[in-house]
Amino acid sequence: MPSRVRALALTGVIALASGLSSCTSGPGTPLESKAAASSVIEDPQCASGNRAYFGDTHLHTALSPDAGLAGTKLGLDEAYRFARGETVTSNSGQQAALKRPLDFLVVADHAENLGLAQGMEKSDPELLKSPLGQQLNDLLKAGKGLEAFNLLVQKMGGGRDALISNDAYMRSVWEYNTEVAERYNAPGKFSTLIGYEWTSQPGGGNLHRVVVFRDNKALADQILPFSAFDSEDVEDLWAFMNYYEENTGGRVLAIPHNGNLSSGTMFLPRHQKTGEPIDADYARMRHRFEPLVEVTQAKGTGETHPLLSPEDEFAGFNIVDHTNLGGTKPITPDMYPYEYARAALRQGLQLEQQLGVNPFKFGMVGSTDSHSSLPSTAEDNWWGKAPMLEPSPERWKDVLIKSAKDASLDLTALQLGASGLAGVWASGNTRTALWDAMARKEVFGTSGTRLTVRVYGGYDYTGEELKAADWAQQVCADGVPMGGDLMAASEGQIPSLLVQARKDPDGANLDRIQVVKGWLDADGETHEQVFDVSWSDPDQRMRGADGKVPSVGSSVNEREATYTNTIGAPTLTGYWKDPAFDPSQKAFYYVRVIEIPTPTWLAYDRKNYNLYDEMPATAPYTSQERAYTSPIWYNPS
Amino acid sequence: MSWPDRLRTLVQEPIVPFLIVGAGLFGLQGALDAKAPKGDTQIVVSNDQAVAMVQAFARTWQRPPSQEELERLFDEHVRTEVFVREAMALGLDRNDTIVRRRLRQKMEFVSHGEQPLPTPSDQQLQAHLEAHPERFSSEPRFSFQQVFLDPSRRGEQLTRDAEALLAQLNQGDAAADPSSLGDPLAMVSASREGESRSELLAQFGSTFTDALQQQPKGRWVGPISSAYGIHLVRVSSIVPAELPPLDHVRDGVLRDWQDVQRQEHQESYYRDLLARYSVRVPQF
Repeated sequence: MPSRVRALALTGVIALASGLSSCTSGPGTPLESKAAASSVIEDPQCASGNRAYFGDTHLHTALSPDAGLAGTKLGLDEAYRFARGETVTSNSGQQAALKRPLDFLVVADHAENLGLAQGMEKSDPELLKSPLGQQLNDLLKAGKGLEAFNLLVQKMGGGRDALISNDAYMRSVWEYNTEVAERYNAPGKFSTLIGYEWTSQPGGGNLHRVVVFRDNKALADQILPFSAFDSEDVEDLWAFMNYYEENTGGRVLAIPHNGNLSSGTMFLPRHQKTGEPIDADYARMRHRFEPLVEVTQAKGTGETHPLLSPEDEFAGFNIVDHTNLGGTKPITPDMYPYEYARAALRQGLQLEQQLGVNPFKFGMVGSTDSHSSLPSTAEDNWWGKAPMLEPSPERWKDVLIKSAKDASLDLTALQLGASGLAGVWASGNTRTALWDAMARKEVFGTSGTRLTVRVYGGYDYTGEELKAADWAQQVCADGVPMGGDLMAASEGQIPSLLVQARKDPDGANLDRIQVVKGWLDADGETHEQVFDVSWSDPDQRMRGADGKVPSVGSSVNEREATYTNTIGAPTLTGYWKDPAFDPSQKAFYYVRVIEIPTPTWLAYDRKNYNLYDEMPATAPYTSQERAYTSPIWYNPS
Repeated sequence: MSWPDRLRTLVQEPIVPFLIVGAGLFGLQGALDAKAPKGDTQIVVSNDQAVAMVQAFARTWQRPPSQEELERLFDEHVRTEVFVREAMALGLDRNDTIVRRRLRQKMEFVSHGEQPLPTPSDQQLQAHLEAHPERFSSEPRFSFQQVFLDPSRRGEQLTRDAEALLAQLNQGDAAADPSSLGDPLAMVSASREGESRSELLAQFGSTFTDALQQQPKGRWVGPISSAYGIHLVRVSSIVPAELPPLDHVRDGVLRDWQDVQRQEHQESYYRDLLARYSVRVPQF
């Protein structure tokens, strides 16, 4: 071993990368930034305003290596412009625009080799400091471009190549990312939250997390993104997040997604490193850093699975679960309980009983995970998951992930959904207000529709409150919003929920409001039940003898990809009192709102490109879009 | 866009050692035979590279690597190096769509960095601003009052009720307080001041917003429809969209102008390169 390296390695006298050393030895930034960080809202019960903000917490641009490889040319500017409502030229050369702008956006490019390709863009001086960068530059200047690139290709093995492990270089890419986020952040109008994706998938099982910062560039620039190259173990990610918070005074949270592609590992209560059952420390860290789960996105919906919830007639929505993200392992039945949100919420009650803290105490959002810089979720205006899935007569045939092992493990375009969005009950459209609402879980996820749903839980509600236009403001002090905790009931008290749902003003009417309850019994077993709370046309749709509300029917003409709002209701309110409340049992309640059936993006494609002879008759041409709220938990003393 | 399917696997994955995977996919048993490598057979981990590895490790773990860990870092590096060189020797980097795409992408970026962007004059920026009003204009803003009537509550009476309420409101009846008339619409107040168009789209939908724009000002009119029912409205003012002065949006205009320059530069860079080649494609 060269003596200099040995000296560094063995004596521990080491110049840590600037990202972390600046926190401890930099010129006074931590204290200043701590003072500058605005405080989290004092009264979380009544923190939200009179509208929900819709956005995407999970978008990739050409800075993500996989997106770049797939042919994404659009970068950060295009992503923000498109999201705020401008028309941009798509990767396939089409004019793309949202019908309505988003209120906020988190660009979450993969941390692994972030912006490798873009490093050349600015002939980055930092790049030239590394021996390889210098070599490349010399070759380029000598007109030997191809040689330069061959050299670069040589370095692009797995893991950090020589270029990327040059922290100064990676820093410049990260700072570019934060700089563009700052440029587009327009408080009150359009918020950008700084973020990235930690892309861990041991053995092909998806454990990805989107990391979202509350802070501005000044704080976020004090670190470099902790990537899966640093560690694939989520506990190391949390340690890094903890480090960030302690050293900058900033705040950060992580949002896991696609448990359905995790081979039963996303909610498996075991340490990744040892395989041992998790302990209270693990539970505390997960509880603290992962207040949300992305339950619906293009690669499937992870609320629950028909095999886990056989009694739930709406459980089979956009299920993508035959394999994992790598297409390496077929699903087996023992995996399901550790892949879906509802089962994880149930398991969380058990774990809380054992460990004293609930590791799976999360709210729910939807997002796109689009890899083309174009966050879109409207079925009739879906710009796809990746460049080759932009609108075209061929896209329905595409294969997003081709399994190296077995074609039956492919993930095909026909399985993708034009999903989803995060609805956030923030006090206003600012970075910190949105983040705070996420942290207190006052959020809901939709399959892409902009229907809004609001929930308050308490002991003293009667249902009359819902008659006032400003009902939420009137009741918030007497209960808790979605994401909140109900403390132990006094003698005779029973929790009730006030729910209001409003259709997407440019979308479909509503079928019904449901409450999903999960609870832990005295034997330590968990249960779930779905309750219909209110529905359209209650005079005609009577609850049947089996307790079920009849189907709302359908106004969809699949062939023409049309529907009419002649069924369903534009708004629904619901008052629900737990009919089987046991004050000694831990429980959670979340609300699900179901829309009337509408055509899917596949139906619109078939119509627009006249593919009646080609597209399979069995493809899903109709679906009932929906929203899921964060739960309200009941905690016995 | 038809790629060899086997390569599509890689698209969804964070950078994988794709040359190695490629070798696996191609099933090149031949590649696995231990042949004497051609060309450079020296693998040297330089001091600079080693320091970089140690620093990366230390940044992650907050401590320097142990002797054993350091050796693992080196082993990993060498393993990658060996495979990459062998893959290159076998020509696995050629005819690989992903490698070709990547090289093209890098070339396009290189062309970006080749020359510093010129500094535009104010006249150039002003011209750019005027050429793209859709990018820089403010949103129209609406100030109005509304009274909502809920069809599900009023049924057959809806139209009649709307007419009666309209008459009452236009009489200037002091008792006719819009906020106490009509039906509640959750989270929507009776009076709105300087509401942007996008805010109205989010709250009422496009049908209502477009109709509101057409209404006369200063008196109660309607009803106009929204997603939720019908509304009587009194528009007090609509501030139209306007192009702001350059000084208010200078940064955005400059950025945008530079983007256009970059694209033009990239195109001409390509044209210059293309000029070195004679191109023949089949004629159909």
